[in-house]
Amino acid sequence: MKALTTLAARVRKVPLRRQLMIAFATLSISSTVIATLSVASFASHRLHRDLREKSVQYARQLQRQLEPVIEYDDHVTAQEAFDSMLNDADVDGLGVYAQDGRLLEGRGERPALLPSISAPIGADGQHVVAVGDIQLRDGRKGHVFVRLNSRSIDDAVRRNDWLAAAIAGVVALCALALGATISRLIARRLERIGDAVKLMAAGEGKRVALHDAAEDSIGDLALAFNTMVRELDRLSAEHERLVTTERERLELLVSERTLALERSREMFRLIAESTLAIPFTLDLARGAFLYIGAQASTNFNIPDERWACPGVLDLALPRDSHQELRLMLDACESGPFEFLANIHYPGRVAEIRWTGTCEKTGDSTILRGLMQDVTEVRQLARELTAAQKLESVGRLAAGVAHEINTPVQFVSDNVEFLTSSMQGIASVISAYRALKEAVETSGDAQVAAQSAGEAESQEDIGYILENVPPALSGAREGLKRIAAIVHSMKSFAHPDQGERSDADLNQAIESTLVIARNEYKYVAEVETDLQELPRVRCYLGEINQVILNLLVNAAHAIGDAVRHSDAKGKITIRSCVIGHEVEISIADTGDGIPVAAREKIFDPFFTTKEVGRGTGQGLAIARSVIVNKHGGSMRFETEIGKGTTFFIRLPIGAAHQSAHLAA
Amino acid sequence: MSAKTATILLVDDEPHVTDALLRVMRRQPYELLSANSAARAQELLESHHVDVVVSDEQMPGVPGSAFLAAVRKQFPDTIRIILSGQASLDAAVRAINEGEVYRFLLKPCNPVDLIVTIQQALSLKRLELQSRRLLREFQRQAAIIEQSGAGVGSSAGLNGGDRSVITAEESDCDGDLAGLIERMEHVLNQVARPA
Repeated sequence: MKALTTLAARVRKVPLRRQLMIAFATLSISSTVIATLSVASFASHRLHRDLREKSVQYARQLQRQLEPVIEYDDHVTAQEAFDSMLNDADVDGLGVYAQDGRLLEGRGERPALLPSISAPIGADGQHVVAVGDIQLRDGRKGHVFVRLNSRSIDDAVRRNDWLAAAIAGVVALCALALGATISRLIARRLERIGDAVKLMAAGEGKRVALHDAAEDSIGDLALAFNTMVRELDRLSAEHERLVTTERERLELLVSERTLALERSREMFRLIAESTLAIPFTLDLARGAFLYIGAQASTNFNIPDERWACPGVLDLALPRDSHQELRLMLDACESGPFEFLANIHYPGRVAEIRWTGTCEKTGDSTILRGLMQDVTEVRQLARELTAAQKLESVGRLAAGVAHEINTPVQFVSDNVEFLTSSMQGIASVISAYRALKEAVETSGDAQVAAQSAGEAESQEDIGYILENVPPALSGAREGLKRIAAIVHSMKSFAHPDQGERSDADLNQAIESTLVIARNEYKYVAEVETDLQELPRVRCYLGEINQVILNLLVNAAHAIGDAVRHSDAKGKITIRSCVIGHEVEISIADTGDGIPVAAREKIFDPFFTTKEVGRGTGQGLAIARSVIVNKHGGSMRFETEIGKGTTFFIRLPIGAAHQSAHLAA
Repeated sequence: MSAKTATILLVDDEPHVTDALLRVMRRQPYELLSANSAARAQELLESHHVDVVVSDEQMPGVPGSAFLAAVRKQFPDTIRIILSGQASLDAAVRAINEGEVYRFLLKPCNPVDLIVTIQQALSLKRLELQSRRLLREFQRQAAIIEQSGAGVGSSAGLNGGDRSVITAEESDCDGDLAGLIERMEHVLNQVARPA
C-alpha cells in the first residue's frame, strides 16, 4: 500500500507528456501481448480440436469397417484398413480389441498398450486417443482404438506463436510511436491551455485566445476555454461596471454620511457652545486651551485666539492669586476633578466651577471638562444662607430686645432717679449755701441751719446719698450689658464679604452665647470649656450662624424636656484642637433625637419643631457651611432621654481647601 | 413723707430693675415691695395686703402671665400689671386671657407712665370697691323696703322705690360714680318696664 502511494506520488512528479507516453506504451504493449497470446492460444486450441475430431472420425470409420474382425476374426480387413489409415502421418497407433481386451490386430507404436490409456478420447499432451465400441448383433463386443500424434500440431502452433510475437512487436512499436506522437500532441495542447490559464491568472484575460481547430475533447476544451475567457471578460466588465456603480454609490453614501456627521457635530457643538457651561480641553504643560467653547470669548471678553496661546492659563488663574490651586493642578493625577476658582477678566470677577476628567500622558496633563459660571448660583446660595441668618436673627431679635430692653429699663429708671436726686441735692446745697452766707455775713445762722435741715429732710437726702452710688453702678452695669449685646450682635452678624478671615472661634462662641442668651437662660445653664485655639481661617459669619443654630437647637431640646417645671437643663460647649482640626462640641441635656429623625436631621426643611419655631434649614445650612465650604466635618451623638451632642470639626487651614480635587 | 395709700409689689428676676423702680417710685405715696422670683413674690403676697402687682413676663421657671393667673385666683382684688421686655403676642394673649391683667406694659417704660398707670389702677380699684359697697348698701336697703312695705307695694312699686333710693343716695357718691349709677338706673328701667 505504502509502495503504491510512493509510486503515485512519484508519478505525479513526472511531466504530463511522459506520463501519457508511459500510459500509451503500457497499454499498447500489454494489449498487443494479450492479443497475440489469445490468437496463438485460439489457433492451438483449434488445431487440437480438429485432431480430436479426426481421431473420433477415424474411430467411427474403423467401428464400421472392423465389425468383420470381431465377427469372423478377419485380420486382413483389419490390416488393410489399418494400413490405409496409416497413410495419414498423424496416426500414431491403431488397434482392435476383443471384449476381453485381447488385441486382435494392431499397427503402429505399442498397440497393445492402447486400452490402458484411461480416457476413451483424451490427450496425454502428445497424443490424442479415440475409442470406438463395436457391437455385434449376436451380442459380442469389441473396441477400436485410434491414437493420433500431435507433433504436427505442435509445430504449427510454434510457428503461429513466432508469427504472432513478430506481429505483436511491430504493432507495439507502431503503437509506441503513435502514442509518443499523440501524447506529445495532447500534452502540447494541454500545455497551451495551461499557459493560457496562467496568462488569465496573470490578469491578461482579454488577450488570451486558443487556436485549436481540432474537434476533439481538447479542441472542445479550448473552445470552452475561449468561451469561458470571453464570458469571464464579459463578467469582468460587468463586474467592473457594478463595482464602479457600487463604489460611486458608496462614495455618495459616505459623503452624505460625512455631511450628516458634520451637521450632527456642528449641532452638538452649537448646543455645547450655547449652554452656560463652557466645554474645554486644557493642556496644563503648555498652559493653553486646546479647545474652548465659542461662548468663552463672549462670556469672558477674551478673543478666541488668545485661549490657545501658551501661558493663557497664567492669565486666567495667575499663580500669585491662585497659588494653592495651581500647585494642586501641578500635582493633578488622572481622574475626575472639580474645583472652584475666580477668574478675573475685563469688567468683573466670575466664580467658575471647573469639572471634568484629568488625563496624564507622559509629561503633559490634559484636563477635559466644563467651566461653569456659578457666580449667580453661589450668590443665591450665599443669599439663602444670609436669609436663614436673617431668619434666626429675626427670631433672636425678640430675645435680644428683651436683653436690651431690661437694662434700658433700669438704666433709665436710675437716671430718672439721679435726675430727681440731683434736684434734691441742689436744693439742699442751696440751703447750705444760704447757711454758709448767713454764717459769713453773721446773718441768722440759726434760721438758715434750720431751713437747711428742713431741706435735707424734705429732699430725703439720706436716701439719696445711700442710693445714688448703687443707682450709678446699676446704670453703668446696664449700659455695659447693652454695649456687650450690641457688640456681640455686630460680631455675630460679621459680614464675610466673600473672604475668609483668621477668626478666634472661642470669641465667636462667647458672642453667640451673649446674643442667644435669651433663648436659653430660662431653661439651661451654660457651661463652657474653651481651650486655647489657634486662629482658624474661615467665614466667621457663617460659623457664628452654625454655632447659633446648634445653640438654639440645644436650648429648644432642653426647653421641651424641662417644660412645665422649674428644673433647668445644661448646655456644655467645648472647644479643643485635635490634630490639624479644631473641634467644637455643643451638648444638651434634652430628650435626644428620635431614631426615625436621625437620618433626616441634615435634610433641608426637615424639622420636628412646631410652626414658627424653626424652618428646618438650620442643620442643613450648618452642614453645608462646615462640610462644603470649609472642608470640615459634622456629626452628632444622641441618646434618648439623655441628650444630644453635636461635634463640628474645622481644618485649621480651612482656607487652604479653597478648592479641592474630587478623588 | 405722705401716708402710704396702697401697697405695690414689683416682681422681676432682675434685681437691677426692681431696685431702680423702687428708687424712682420712692416719692409716691405707696408702700413698695420687691421680689426677684415668683416664689418670693408669693410669700410677700401672703404676708402683705398688696393692691397692685407689677410683674415681668420672662422669668425662670414660671412666666409672669402664669404667675399673675395664679395671683388672680388667690387674690382677686389685686390689680395685675405686666411689665415685659419682650413684645411677644403669645405672652400678651396669655396675660390678658389667663392673668386678666390691667395693663401690658413694655420695657423700657417711662417711670411716669408706670406711676400714672398704677394710679389709674388704684382709682379703678377704689371705684370697684365703692361700687361693691354701694351694691351691698342697695341690697340692704331693698331688704328694708321689702320688709316695711310688704302689705302695700306690688313688685312694680318696689322697683320704683328702689330707683328713688338710688337717686337719694346720689348725693353721697363721688362724681365718678354718677356714670355708674346712671347705668344702673338704666338697667333697672329696663327691668321695671311693664311687659
